[in-house]
Amino acid sequence: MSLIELKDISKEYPLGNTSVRALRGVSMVIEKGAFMSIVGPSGSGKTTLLNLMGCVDQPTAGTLLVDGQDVSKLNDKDLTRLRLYKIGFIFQSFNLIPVLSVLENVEFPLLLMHSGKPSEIRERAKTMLRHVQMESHMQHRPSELSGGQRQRVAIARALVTQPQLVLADEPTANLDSETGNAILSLMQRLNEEQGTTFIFSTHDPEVLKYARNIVKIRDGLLIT
Amino acid sequence: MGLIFRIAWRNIFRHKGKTLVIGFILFLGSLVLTVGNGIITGLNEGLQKNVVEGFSGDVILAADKQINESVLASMSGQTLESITAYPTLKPKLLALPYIQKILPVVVGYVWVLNESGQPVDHYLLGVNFNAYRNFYGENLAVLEGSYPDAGQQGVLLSSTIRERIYDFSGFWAIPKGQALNTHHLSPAARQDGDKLRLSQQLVFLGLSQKNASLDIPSEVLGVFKFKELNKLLGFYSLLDIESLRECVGYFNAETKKVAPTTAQSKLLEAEAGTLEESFDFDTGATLSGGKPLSKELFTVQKTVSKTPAANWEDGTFNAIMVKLKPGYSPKEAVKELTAFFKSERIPLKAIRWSQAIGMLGQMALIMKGALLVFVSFIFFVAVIIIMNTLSIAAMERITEIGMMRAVGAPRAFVSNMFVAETGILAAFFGGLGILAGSLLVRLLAMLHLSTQNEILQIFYGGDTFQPRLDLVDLLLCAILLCFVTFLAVLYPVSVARKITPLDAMSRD
Ligand SMILES: Nc1ncnc2c1ncn2[C@@H]1O[C@H](COP(=O)(O)OP(=O)(O)OP(=O)(O)O)[C@@H](O)[C@H]1O
Ligand SMILES: [Mg+2]
Repeated sequence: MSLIELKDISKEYPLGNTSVRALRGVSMVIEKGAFMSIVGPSGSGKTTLLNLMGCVDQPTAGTLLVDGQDVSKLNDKDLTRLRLYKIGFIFQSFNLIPVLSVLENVEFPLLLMHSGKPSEIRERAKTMLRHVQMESHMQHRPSELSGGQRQRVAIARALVTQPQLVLADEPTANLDSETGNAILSLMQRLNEEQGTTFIFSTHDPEVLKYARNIVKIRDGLLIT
Repeated sequence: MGLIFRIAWRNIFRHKGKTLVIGFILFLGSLVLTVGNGIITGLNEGLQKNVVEGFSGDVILAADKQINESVLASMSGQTLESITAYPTLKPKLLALPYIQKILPVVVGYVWVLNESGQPVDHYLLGVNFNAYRNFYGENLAVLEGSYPDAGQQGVLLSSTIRERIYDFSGFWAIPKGQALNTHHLSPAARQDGDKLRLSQQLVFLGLSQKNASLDIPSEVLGVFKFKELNKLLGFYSLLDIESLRECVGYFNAETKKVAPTTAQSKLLEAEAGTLEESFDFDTGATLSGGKPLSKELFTVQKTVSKTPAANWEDGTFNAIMVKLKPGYSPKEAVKELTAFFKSERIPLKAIRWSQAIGMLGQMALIMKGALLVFVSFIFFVAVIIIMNTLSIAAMERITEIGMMRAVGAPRAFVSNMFVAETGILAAFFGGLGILAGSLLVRLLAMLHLSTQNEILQIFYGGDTFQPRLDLVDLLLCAILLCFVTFLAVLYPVSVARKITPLDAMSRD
């Protein structure tokens, strides 16, 4: 079963009078349960591709199906629900809500989903923070954390809802290799045990060791 | 909801500068609103108390033919339509459960004549002095002379009118048998020194319904001022009712009974007819040096008026002042009375005091309007500033909001967050403003500021500034505060709602 289908996807960003073509006709199918890595030089279109698959952006041309639904036909409300319930996104610039503590940031999507009692939500968030080795910083505010620590909180937030699809834009870029490996093996375990689909972009050869499929991208085109 | 409030609450402390700006504006706006409200309520209640209790009563009854409803301040100078058969009306009115007491009067618009200077126009209230005093109690301060007795004929002159008469006619009225009280002289009159012309009598020229006119010499019995709002109400003097009836051409109590059978009244009617033809009232030419009034008519009237009325209540009136029992509003009473008159086929109409006092009531309305405009302006400015500050806040939080949206927060979450944040600020700072406002109102009331300025008197609703707030006012302030907050937050919310996850990412 395919989770994501891209058919001849293009994405142009307007830039002054002209436009930048970040993707120029990308087609591929990603099966459920994939553990896939997108590699390519800087500016090749990795983030753009992940944004489209994560339903935070819309393609300029082509058809994108996520879980069988044509995203161009969904309204803002549907897309928001899709992001909340089915997708976990780990951004390249890992934003957290500044006024919430680490624990509260991880609870955030669960609270939006109204999934369970506050005590259950709290437990789930704590468990996930333990997995990313951040439980000792639960009460800290994001401004009191290092870049790598924030990245791990963002990862916990993306995984805590147990989404079908996790998109991670260079998840290990700010992490030392030991922590990076711990997180990657956590992802691998979730992939194996729960069938969660993982799609990364990365430059990191360590990450590539974990990937089952690798897609190469250059100047907005897939290279096979 | 808990999550939204938590975020809102912490954002308030995180962005202290903005919190203080918005808080200050909300505080100030609510303060002004509350104080303004207190002034308006004080004005309303002051006017109500001082005018109702000392000048007009709650409701004024007039003949149903009476078109102009500002019966106590009719600008046209026309004599009001007459009310007859008061003795039969009286028991019916007093039987009504909401009426406490009634006072039948004649309202007259007259000219004060004199040989040399200009005539002065002047409102007179024709009353039975005893009945008037029973109705209004000690609403007047008699400055010179004394409060007239029931049977006395003459005028209880308003000190304001005395000054006016001096300004236009050049003489100073003093009560009969009294020496000049130099303390009460107006600055202009004081300058005359020994040359000041004194008079113990005034001649009133009344205009009757049929445009006939009669002039009545009247002794000055006393000089008074209204204890409250004299600057505004002092254009009225009190005249004994029989004299005013003569003056405006109503038969007085005694002659009414005999009139149809006497030759005198026939003569009177005939004379009135000729007068009507020979006078040009539109131009008012007769008032200043026109034809002298008919000698015969004058004598007839004099003889008639010499006969004391058997019962003053039997004669003609043109207004009945009504005081309601405590707890009844003039508005309700007017409704009830109107229905009552209709069902009983009584040819009367009921007029609320605020309408009956005409100009004065309108000036109060204008005053209230001006205050309202001022308060609205303050709030308008407040809305703009808050709106602006919040819009900037929305723009500054693009990354944060876009990220929330990316994680799956719906637009409503973003709106609610802004509304909650502003709501908390409004509740706290606005509440504080309302509290401070009501304290200020209390403080202002305790100062007992008093004024003799007429504009300020309307503003105060009396001689002293007595702003006050009741629970309804405070509730109104709170509702207005909510409304303003709602208005201020509308635009920033629409800005925040449009922020997409992508906006957040293209930021760094
Ligand atoms: N918002 C934007 N507006 C204009 N151009 C953009 C925008 N986002 C990306 N681009 C352009 O699109 C192309 C692809 O960018 P993208 O961010 O997808 O690259 P990337 O592969 O993620 O690079 P990196 O490894 O450095 O993160 C680049 O040429 C970039 O300049
Ligand atoms: Mg990128």
